[in-house]
Amino acid sequence: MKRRKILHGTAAGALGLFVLAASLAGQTRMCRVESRALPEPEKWDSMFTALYAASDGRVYIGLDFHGAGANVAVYDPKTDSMRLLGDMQELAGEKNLGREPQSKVHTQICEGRDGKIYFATHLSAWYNFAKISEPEGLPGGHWVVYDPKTDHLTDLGLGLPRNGIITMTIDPGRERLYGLTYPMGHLIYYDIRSRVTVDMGVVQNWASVSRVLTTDDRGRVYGFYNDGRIWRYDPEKDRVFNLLTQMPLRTPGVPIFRSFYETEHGMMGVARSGDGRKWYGLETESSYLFEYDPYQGDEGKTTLLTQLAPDRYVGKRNVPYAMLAFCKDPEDVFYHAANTQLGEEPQGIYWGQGYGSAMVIYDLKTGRREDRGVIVAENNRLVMTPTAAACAPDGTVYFMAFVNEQGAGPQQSESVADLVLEKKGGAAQRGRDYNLRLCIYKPRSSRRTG
Amino acid sequence: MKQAIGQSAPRIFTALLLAALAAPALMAQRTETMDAVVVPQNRITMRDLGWPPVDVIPEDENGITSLVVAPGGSIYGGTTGFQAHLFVLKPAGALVRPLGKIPGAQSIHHALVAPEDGMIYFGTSLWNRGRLDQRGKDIPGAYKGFPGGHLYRFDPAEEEKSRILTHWADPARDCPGLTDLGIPVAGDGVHALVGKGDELYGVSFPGGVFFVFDIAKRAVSFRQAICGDPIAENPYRSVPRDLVIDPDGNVWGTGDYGKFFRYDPAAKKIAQLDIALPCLPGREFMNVVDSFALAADGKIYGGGSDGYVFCLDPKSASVRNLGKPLWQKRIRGLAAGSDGNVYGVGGEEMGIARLFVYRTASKEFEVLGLIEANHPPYFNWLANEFDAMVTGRDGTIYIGENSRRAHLFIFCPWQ
Repeated sequence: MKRRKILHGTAAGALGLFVLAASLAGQTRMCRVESRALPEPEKWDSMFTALYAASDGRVYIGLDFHGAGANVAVYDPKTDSMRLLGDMQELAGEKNLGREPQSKVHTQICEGRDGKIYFATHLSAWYNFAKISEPEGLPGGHWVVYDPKTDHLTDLGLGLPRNGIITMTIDPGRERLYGLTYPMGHLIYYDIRSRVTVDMGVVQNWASVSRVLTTDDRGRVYGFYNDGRIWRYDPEKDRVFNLLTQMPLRTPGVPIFRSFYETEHGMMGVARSGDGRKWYGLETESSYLFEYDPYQGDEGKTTLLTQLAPDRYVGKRNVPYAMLAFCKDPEDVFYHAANTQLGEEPQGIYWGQGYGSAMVIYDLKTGRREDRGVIVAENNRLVMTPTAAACAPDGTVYFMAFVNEQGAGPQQSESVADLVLEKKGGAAQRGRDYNLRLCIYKPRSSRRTG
Repeated sequence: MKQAIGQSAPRIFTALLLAALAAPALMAQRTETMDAVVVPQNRITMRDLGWPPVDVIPEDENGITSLVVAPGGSIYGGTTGFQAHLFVLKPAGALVRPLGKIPGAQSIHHALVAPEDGMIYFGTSLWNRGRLDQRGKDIPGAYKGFPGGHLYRFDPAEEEKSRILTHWADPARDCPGLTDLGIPVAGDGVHALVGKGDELYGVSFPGGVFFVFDIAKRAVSFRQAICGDPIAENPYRSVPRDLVIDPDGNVWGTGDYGKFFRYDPAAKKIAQLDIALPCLPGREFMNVVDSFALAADGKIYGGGSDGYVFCLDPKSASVRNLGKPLWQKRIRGLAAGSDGNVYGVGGEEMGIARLFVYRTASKEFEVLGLIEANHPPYFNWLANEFDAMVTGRDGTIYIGENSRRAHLFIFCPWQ
């Protein structure tokens, strides 16, 4: 077994180098990043959205474990160390319930004015609604707060029964957390002072529930519905309004891969302007980067800035589904770690992914867009399927992705299910080709190489 | 290299095969595997309430909580939310026409009547939306200072005259053609309403008062409480969510502990009966009827809060428990099909609704699936909750979604 593993690893590595060299012959740019292993790396089968670089420089990472308890890791760049905060199923006190566990931390991680860190939990089991609203299903996702000063995690209670909380944002002024639930697509909010959750009702269909929410400087909350139109929750009126304002997008039916099945189209990444008076979104199907100004007209106005996809997909139909690895730095430069093919390998049916990822940036000040090339980690290890990004106050870009542990590929995942299955049933039988890692990109010291 | 590829190929194949099998379970997106758990898509579709994106009944005002079939075949609907609206669908047409807002009203709940005179009668109420943490306790409080829900008559001909011919429907206008018939029970909303001839029969919330309204005299001719104070820890009284008129003209509903009452219009008397809705033993104090449907053979089918479906024989005043088609509680819509079967939609608040049929010949339930209309790339919508259901003249069944973004579903049954 051991000998077969070594042969497999060597062969995969050799084949991978051959493929990488061949594919990189037509594409000379590489974007080099550092990577850090997670604590208990074999355990975490996925992560989405939940990455945050806090004001004190520490980085929080939500980690998923299908069928068991999720966790949150904290990376401290000062000590270059990482640790886990705690099992979410244990925190929720639900280990004896015999119900679907709190298997994911899938929300945007948020920071209050006092430095406390907020996030929420989510379900993993799905099975075409078999367990939703049934006795075995998830009781409901929980709101959670971590206090870095006391190193204490607190369960703030359940959000909406039967639903996970798939994304979240914060209004620090009103001390409210806003969440979207899955699968029923409700907007809910948690008032931190009164400790009450309020349900505002359905905002989206289950198949397209947004993975991101954002707020403006007045504490109004934004999401999307239908064909890229924006809804806005106004806390002054305590009501959600379906605006007619539409983000730039291609006609439904044109985008392919996962977009083909989605009939509500919107954004996969958001970032706010420094003063909160505008926000920016990464449109899902086409990787359009747009600006939304709520102060233009009654309902605000969107402006297309660029297509933040790798060069090879600009203007093409086969743009991969935009990933959640999107962020903005303090100098208004946007970063998107996007799925990409390396050569002409077939694209995955789910995200349109290939064997690699690419870093694409846009500088709002100059209007300049740049594809910085294929992302590689140490020893030219390919970085695949980025799933979250955050920019620290010092301009460091952190993102999460699967890094090929065996060398440079070509272990392309067919789908996220393939990645998850890699974590089941014993590493010894299938081999460990890729693991989730924290990737660290320092834009000022990393430049195009050719 | 060749040997290594040979060794890795079976492993990769196995991984891919397993991924293909597990992928639908893990991908959690609308793919073809969902077809197996939803109502077949060649049998169901849905309509927006208006002409999107502008001329639609606004979100948070379009939860459908009443449906009725008019003598001419048109389907009228009433909504609930921040503001109640009326709408109509002519079955041969494609579009739902919003008719306008009902001034000062938040809800038309199971309270639409379409008698032979061509008018539409309805009753209004408050939204009855409470906070999650209050478990219904805050709902009766909303009625403090509330003057009462109104009864209205709507004249379709007058509304048609009012249309601006070059413009599509305007959901923002006050509904034309309305005559205010007054408040039947002071301080209460109209929670359910049925009618026959010159009389409307209703029940009020939260007081639980049964009333009779004489249309010609425009006055209430009878009032009587049909349930007592809230039982045990119930947040409000056991007010029935629906009423039904049997072929002899008697009006049926339920009161405390889910026990039936019968109003005899000739004698102008209510009889409190000893028969009750089926429920789990011990849960009688929470037992309330959700929905009724009158079948062509004169039997009354109904659904209760515990999720059981029953058949009430009004002649013998006997109830037969037909069973429970779903795990979940609540039967929030029921309609007698033109094929002799009884169709229903079940599901709790914050649950996921499913459509079912009770096949009367074989006496068995069949669960037809989740209620979704999937028409990519244009729309795909899975509805979670419903609160109204009727059968059209041609056997088509209309199901009213009750949510913040509601739609009218159109279902074509099959044998």
